[in-house]
Amino acid sequence: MTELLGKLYHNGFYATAAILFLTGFYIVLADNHLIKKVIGINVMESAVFLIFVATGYVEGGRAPILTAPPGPGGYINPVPSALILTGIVVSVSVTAFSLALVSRIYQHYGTVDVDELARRRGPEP
Amino acid sequence: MTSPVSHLGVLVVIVPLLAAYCAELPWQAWRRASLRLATVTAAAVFGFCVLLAAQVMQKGALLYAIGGRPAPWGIEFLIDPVAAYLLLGLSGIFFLVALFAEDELEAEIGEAGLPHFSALYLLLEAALLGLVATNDLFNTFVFLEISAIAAVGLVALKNDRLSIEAAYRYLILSTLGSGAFLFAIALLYAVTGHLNLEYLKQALAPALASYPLSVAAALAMLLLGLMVKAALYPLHIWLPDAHAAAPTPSSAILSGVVVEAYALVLLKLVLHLFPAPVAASSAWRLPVLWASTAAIFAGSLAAIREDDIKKMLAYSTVSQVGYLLLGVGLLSRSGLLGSLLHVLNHAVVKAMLFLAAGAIIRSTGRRRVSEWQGVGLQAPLPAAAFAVGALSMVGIPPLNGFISKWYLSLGALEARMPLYLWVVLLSSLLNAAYYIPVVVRCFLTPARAGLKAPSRPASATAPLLVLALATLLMGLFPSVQLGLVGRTVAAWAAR
Repeated sequence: MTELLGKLYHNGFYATAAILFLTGFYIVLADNHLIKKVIGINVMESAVFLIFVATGYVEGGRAPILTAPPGPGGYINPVPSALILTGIVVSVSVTAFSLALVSRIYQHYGTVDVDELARRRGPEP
Repeated sequence: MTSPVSHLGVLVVIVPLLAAYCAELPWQAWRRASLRLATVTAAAVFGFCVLLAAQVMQKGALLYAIGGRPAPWGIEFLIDPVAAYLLLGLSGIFFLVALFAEDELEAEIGEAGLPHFSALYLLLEAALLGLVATNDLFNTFVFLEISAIAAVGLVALKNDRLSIEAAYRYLILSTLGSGAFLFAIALLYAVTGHLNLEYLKQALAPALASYPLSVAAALAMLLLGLMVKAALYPLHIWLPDAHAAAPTPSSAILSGVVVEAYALVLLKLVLHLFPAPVAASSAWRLPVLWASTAAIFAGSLAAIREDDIKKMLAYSTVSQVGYLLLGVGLLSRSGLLGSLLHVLNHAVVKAMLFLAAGAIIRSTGRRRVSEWQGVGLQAPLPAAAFAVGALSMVGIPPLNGFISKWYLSLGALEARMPLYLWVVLLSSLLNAAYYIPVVVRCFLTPARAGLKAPSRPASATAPLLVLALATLLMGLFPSVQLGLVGRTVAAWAAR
């Protein structure tokens, strides 16, 4: 048991990422609120960002600015951070777009609840 | 690296990308012109692809380092014969659909929507061609996201309640798929430290020995992400509404090109990247085969019940995605060949079917197939194109749908899984069950009293003619396609 906890502690980033990913996934699939689904997507993406950035992290490392002295652990790997910057931009645009769609849905139907939406839409258009 | 010809590989992506931003210029007089800009750009890109293909035929695969920074640090484009073949086909379809949109689109989304359509359309073209050309895993993710946003935008263009709702569902599920895909990239990067596909491939074989679990998880996430995006059953739930609610040119591109491009990325990554024991493992092949079989039958059965023509075609796409991935699951030479050929065969035919259906709906005002009596007389050319496409989907020789099914059947035998031969045969009957009655109703039943068809302008009929001709020629001369892709496929199958 202590061994398992120790392993979890040393892989804290990965364990947290797995929990966040599943939480986000669950919210997207199970929640009926359209905006909460968007939030779920964001939680899920944060998990992926976390695990990606963690792969480049070095204990005690500093950002690799070559004119500054390295930290006690040397430099961290900058590639994952740079990639995730792109990932965050993508995620922000997707969030903005989906929120815009939700507000349109609200204008058309007057609700953001999935069940209510199905009721107001009627059986088949 | 000085002559512009040497930059062709990247121009294919950059030109539509820049044109997309020009399409949104705010002047009112520009609105219609933006659509012309889309057509001209698509034509130019097609021209680039022709030149590229000629170069690849002469000198073999082209490697282009973006910004002059070589791999493993820079991003590379790799135009091998398969990529050249697909670039050529996809850019050709983009050009023809744009030509069609010039005449038909305004009636569906109004003048104000035209610049948005043009911009999204060009963005989508840039992203999809980039997906085919790129040799970098993270770059693939970026193109996947650009194409997802552009494709969802194209669905939402009509701005009515159905299309907005379909767009939302499409975006959420597509983003779930992207999340899984990025997770897979993170795992692969963690075990190999590479993103360039070639380096990744080489580093993955030793990594498999030390981290088998991470590699397996990466493969699972990769498959899951791309299967959602390619709408493989049972992850297809977003597709029928999205493709049916979109305006006609959008549907043609979404069903004809976008879904195929994702299936192709799946094929390329799984076969190219993973070392042989993983790539040939039945742990992923069997689920893919089962899902494909379920897709083929469930899509066809849903299409049989459907009366709305665009929804029927969308369900047909669900079943066709099953064929696309069936060959990947079979993993024999002919099966892979069948899948790869089916990418373009289906792209041409489905684009034509959607355009023809759109033209028929426009000229007769009838969206329900049950009301299509005698439509063949009112709108002869679209109905004829529809008939050609329908026969090709059923798999009647010498049309191109037959070629795909032929190779898939051979592939089933080569893989010693004759069960899937029956799947292909039986599903052809099911395809016939919903396509043939429509064709019969179009041509062989007397017309109902209705609207007289307006005469179609030349540019709206030209795309249909070209696509119908392509359907026939691709079926008559499959050796041309086989010559382009045959060697790569043999290399994939040998692993």
